[in-house]
Amino acid sequence: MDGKNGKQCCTVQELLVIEPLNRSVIVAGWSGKQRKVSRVVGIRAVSPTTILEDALLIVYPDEKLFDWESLMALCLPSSAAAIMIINPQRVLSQQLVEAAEKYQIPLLCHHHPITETDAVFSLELVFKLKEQEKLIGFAENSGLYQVAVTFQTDLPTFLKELSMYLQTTVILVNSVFQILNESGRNEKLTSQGLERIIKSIYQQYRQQHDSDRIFQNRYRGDVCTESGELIHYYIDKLCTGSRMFGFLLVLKGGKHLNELDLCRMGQTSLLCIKELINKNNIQQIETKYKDQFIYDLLYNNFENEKALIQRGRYWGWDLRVPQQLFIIELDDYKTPINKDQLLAELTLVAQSFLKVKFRQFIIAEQQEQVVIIVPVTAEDVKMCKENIKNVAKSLEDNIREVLPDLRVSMGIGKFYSTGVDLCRSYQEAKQALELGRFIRDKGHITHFEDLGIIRLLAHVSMEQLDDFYKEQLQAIIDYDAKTSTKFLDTLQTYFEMNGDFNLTAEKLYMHPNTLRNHLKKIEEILDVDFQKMENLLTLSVACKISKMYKTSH
Amino acid sequence: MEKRLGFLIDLSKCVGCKSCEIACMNKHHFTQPRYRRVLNIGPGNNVFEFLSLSCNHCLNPECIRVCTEHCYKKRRDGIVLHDPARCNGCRRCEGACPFSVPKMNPQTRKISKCNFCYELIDQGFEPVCVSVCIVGALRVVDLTQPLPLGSQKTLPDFPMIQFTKPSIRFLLPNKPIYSGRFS
Repeated sequence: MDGKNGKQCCTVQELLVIEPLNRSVIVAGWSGKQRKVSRVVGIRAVSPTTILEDALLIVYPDEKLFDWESLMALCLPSSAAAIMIINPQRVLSQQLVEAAEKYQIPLLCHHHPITETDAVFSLELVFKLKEQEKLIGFAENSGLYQVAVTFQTDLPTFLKELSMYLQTTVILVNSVFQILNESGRNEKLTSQGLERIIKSIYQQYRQQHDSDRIFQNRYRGDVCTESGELIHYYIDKLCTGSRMFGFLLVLKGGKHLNELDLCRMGQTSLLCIKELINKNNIQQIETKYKDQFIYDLLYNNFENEKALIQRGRYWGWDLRVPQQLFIIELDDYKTPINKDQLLAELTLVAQSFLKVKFRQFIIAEQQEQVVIIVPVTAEDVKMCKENIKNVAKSLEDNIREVLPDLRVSMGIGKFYSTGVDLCRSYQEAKQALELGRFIRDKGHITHFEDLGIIRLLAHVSMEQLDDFYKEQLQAIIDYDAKTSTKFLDTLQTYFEMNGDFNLTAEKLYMHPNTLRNHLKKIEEILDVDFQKMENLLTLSVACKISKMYKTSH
Repeated sequence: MEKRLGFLIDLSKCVGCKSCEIACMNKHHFTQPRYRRVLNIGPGNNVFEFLSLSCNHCLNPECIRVCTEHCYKKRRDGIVLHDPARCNGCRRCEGACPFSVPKMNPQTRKISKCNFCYELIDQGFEPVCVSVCIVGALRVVDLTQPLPLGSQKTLPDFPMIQFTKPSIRFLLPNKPIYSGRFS
């Protein structure tokens, strides 16, 4: 608390908590924010020989007394605590700014008229608040920072201001830690390096705070760069109620942020939330109109192809080129409460993945699924089925990497050369997704053409299917129940592996000869001959129905 | 999807009067094919249980998928419409629909099906089948909104394909309560 001569003092940073000094703009030398201030000195009382240690120097440029800038250049080496210029009439000289940086003396500008008495009063108030240990609480609740920057309502300004204040890197990321905006990045830190750091922060965040994601709003931790440098990170969760907007991230090498720095970070977070809410509302309106168009596209709500192409053009989509469609659906989610949030995160991940792969694409949430439409180039047409499956596979890998807790399944529709046929492709993709669950495990990627006989079975009522498979397999079901064997599983795996003994044996962890014996036993129980195609086909269909039955119950 | 209109059938109220069926036929001015049919689904003839069925305006309509002429469309309120002007009478939709709803009109040689009386809906009225149901067994509901308690997607002992996600819900009849005394 006390300065060198036993006087009361505070840091420059602490002084700027109090009105009206908190409206000051930091121009340079903020690395000296911890300098001690114990008194206020006006420029008129200064001569080149004056000792300015521990003093906040206040300058009034409109007083035409003398060349104040030259005098200040002389004063800077005399280690004043900080220099505050009131209502500067012109741009400060580069020399002055460089000198402030060099001597680490905060150079501040204030655009409202304040007197020395005001500054002294503020200083004394800070002393009092510090004495009673109420300064941090005051800084947290004052809310004056918001007033000060109300007129600067764009996110880059907030981030720039914060990065200048904290003298470090500030990043705004979305809910899946993809960079939306950044400020104050060190030249040494490349964008790839930054992405790597954010990725490892995201992993730490997910691991450590998975259980209490809903409740905590600020996290901190440490992360190592590739060069082995330790970086402290601070994360503010930007959310209101159940609406999640993203995170404000501060990376700080060396010392930790102090309490006042964290206060400023919290205030910037509030401003970011306010700005993001506005942006989100605008985006929601746009999305609503866009979704309506996509609904019309997917359900053939157009007069003709010309009208479709015309309306697509409004959204910047060229629907004259052939398109391919696939849909993604969440397999399971922990609670239905966060379903919308998970879907939004899934869309964000898919969007950033597709941005890298395609110049133009359509993505939308429809009926709790994510619909993706991508163009197919002339060379792709022959290979389009394989290509789209590869795209879907790499997207699934990407989703698993970014959102490891999420399991998704995908359905792919057939390729059609015209945009009006997208409605058919959409229904096919939905069917592939829905029926794919019957023949494959969770996390499947199914093309409509790969559904096979299931497509026909889907048209038969469950009761009839139930009768059929029980007729064919009841004997084996009863035998399994009586003897605790798993012959039905063996038979199903045998068909899944296309009748390959070695593969089936490997999958079931048994010797191929044991498998042969089991299949022989199954033949006996069911009274069939596996050499007859007809028997194999009937049992294969019955096994598929059995799986359908299990999945749907 | 803004809305998803569908039918809610209260089996405890339906008395099998067929007024919905007749009103539908009357509105569409022909006898064949019928858009709406009332079935007796009670076991044997001992119990009266009736089910009034027409197009279910599915969420995943098979008719849209199979139609090469793009005759079908699904409006933003969920109603599936057929445009006979585009229809070439190939009957693919007839076979694809699990409920066999689209039917060939022998006079026009084109497919026709229930259109939910969309012109009445647009004017704020109910479809004729619903408005004539004097016992209130047939209702129009928006499936995106909460439905009456006890409404179900399927009926016990009545096979119904579900993969097209039909926009139809049922209220099952309660067990009859007899408060008198058997003599």
